[in-house]
Amino acid sequence: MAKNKMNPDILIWEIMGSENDKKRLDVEVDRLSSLPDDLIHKILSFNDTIDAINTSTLSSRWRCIWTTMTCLDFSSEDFPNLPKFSKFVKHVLSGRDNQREVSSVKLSFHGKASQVFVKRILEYAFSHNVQQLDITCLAESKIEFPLSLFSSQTLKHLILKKAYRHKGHILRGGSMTLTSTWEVPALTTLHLNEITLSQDNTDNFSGLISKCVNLKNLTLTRCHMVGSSFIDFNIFHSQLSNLTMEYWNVRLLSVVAPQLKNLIIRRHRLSSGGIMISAPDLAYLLLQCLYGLKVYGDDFHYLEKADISISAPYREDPQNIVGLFQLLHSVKDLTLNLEILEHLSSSVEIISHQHSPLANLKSIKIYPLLVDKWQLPRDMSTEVKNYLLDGSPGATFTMVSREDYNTIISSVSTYVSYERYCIMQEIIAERNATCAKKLMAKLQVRLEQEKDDIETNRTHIEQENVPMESHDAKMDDEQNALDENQLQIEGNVKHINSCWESLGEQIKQRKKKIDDIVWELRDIKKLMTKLPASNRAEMQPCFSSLCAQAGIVMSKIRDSMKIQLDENQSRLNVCFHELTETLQSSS
Amino acid sequence: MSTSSSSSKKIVLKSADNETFEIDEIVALESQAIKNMIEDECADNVIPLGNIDSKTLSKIIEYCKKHAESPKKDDNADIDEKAVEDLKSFDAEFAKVDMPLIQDILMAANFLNIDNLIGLMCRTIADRIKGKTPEEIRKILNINKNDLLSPEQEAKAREENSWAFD
Repeated sequence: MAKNKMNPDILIWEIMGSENDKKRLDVEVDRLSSLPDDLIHKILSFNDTIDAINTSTLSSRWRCIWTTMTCLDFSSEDFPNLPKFSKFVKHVLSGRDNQREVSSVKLSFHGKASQVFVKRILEYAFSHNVQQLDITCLAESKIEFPLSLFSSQTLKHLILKKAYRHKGHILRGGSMTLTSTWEVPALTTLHLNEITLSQDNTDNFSGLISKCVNLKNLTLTRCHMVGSSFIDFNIFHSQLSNLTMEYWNVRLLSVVAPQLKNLIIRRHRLSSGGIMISAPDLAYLLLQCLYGLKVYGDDFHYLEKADISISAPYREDPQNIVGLFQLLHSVKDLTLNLEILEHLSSSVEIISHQHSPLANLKSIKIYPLLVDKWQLPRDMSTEVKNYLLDGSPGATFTMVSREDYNTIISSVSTYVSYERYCIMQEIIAERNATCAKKLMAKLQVRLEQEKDDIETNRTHIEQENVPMESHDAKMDDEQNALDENQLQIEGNVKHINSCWESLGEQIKQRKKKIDDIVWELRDIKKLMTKLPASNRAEMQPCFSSLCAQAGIVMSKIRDSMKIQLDENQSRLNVCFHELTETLQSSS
Repeated sequence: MSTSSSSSKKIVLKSADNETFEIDEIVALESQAIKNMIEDECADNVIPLGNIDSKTLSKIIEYCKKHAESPKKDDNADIDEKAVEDLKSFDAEFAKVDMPLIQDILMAANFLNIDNLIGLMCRTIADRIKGKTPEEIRKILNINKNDLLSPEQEAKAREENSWAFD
């Protein structure tokens, strides 16, 4: 160990490494310092800016590396108070190489958005052609974010977020509203999270996004509307390609987006107003809500895939379901939750004598959500199934039964999408398969062990008879010397008792062994029934051979029990014989 | 050799210590640099990699194989979560090697232009130096001793950045 100067980490790696590595260390090449700056920047970008500055004393190669980094990451949480944080920001920005552009900035801060450091960071970022901004506000009060701070010709990606949780706590009472307006013409991706939006005043949301003429991706998560959370909400945008709206409620949602390809509306409680969609190019639609499938709008001529699920279908107007199917007429790949169809089955008259509007289906998948069955007294009727499929006779129909689904999902409380269900099913099948394999291997070992035990037991029983006789012989000797009869009787009774006891014990043990084996087989069988057919078929030969072996072992155990019983019987016969003789001779 | 894969095109790489590695073209395509060579039809013969030793190269091939096999994220909304998880745990295991090898892999990945692998190695190095003192980092990274700052320079650097460490 010549390299005792190495730190423990390296020593561990060195021990684990090959001879080759030791040679490398001997050469003591400083590989990293020979790397281009941008790779070192990339390394440093994974850590905080403060860690990056920390490297300036490593060597002359590293002296100024941090000053040319293009990713900046500020977090006020790392500082005991905001003035210290503000001072840090000021020094970083003035210590940094001013000629170097900034590509991305991440900022997470406490307090108001009007603080001087927020302004300083944004101004610096925009004047250095930033492309990506990620701002998280850890507010616990009502704050306003003046969008006039955003003025950039280069900004492409913006995430603006009021933290919903911070270090495990839900931040209550805080809210963030956007005021004034911005100039971000290059923006392509906007993600607003936990933001209070306004629809009706001058700096309204439609106005905001209409200023982003290149916007392609818009995600709105847990947003609210100013004043009421239950008013109409409109999104009109000519360039938008992907729109996701999650966890919020509006009265009427209108989406007008001629270029829209993917629309995701998740965990939405829609109401009477419904959703108006005008998106003729739509290729993918995901609707996941409580109820309210009142969807209307232009035809989706290019719809490839739709995933529709509602978790309170009993509150749904069945006409809405049929209306939605008409809108989805060109879809190729459709996923529905079973309850939609069960609910439709109770109003089957509205589809009788009607043809299915679904004329292009290639595949349809049905899976159940955890909706209380009592709310939906009907099973899915064949009329509904025929209705779905009669327009596309070639479509594959896949249905997951409620039983299968429940065994898989029992650990999750609600709302699992079909995709997620399939993944979980796969994971659980895999787990069951390994578990079954393990149990089978264990049982195999056990059976071998039992076989051996039976063999040794047999010889043991055979040997046992020998000392037994010598024991008897010994007794014979003693009998001559002492008060013979009395002792003889006591000895015999004791012996008979012990024979019974040991037999009882042996039978109990063997019965337990047989029970155990049967239980283990049953467990494996149970696991196997939960497996997909392919896995089951793969394991079946092994299981069958195990069953056969278990049968042999159990019959061997039974045989050995019989032998022992016979042994015991003959031993008892001897005892009884002796006993009667003794008794006769004493009388 | 297996007959099933014989139909796919093979690429032969040669390491600095003259070991050759025959790999499927699809695996080689993980490297943007080799991809460019293939597209420019410069990859018909053996591709010599004079600055990558066989140990590093075999590690890199292991990585590329795994990543070439796994389904790519498509732009559709459904991403195979299981495949993503699987790849994540592969990456985590892959990075459990000594620092000199990590640095060799990083340099080679940079040369071969394998973006994901560059990211993985950078993140691994970042994790190992996170929160460490300069002295500890020098040891971990084996910083060139001839390049150290003089005590005066170091004091000056410390002074300059003292505001960051109040």
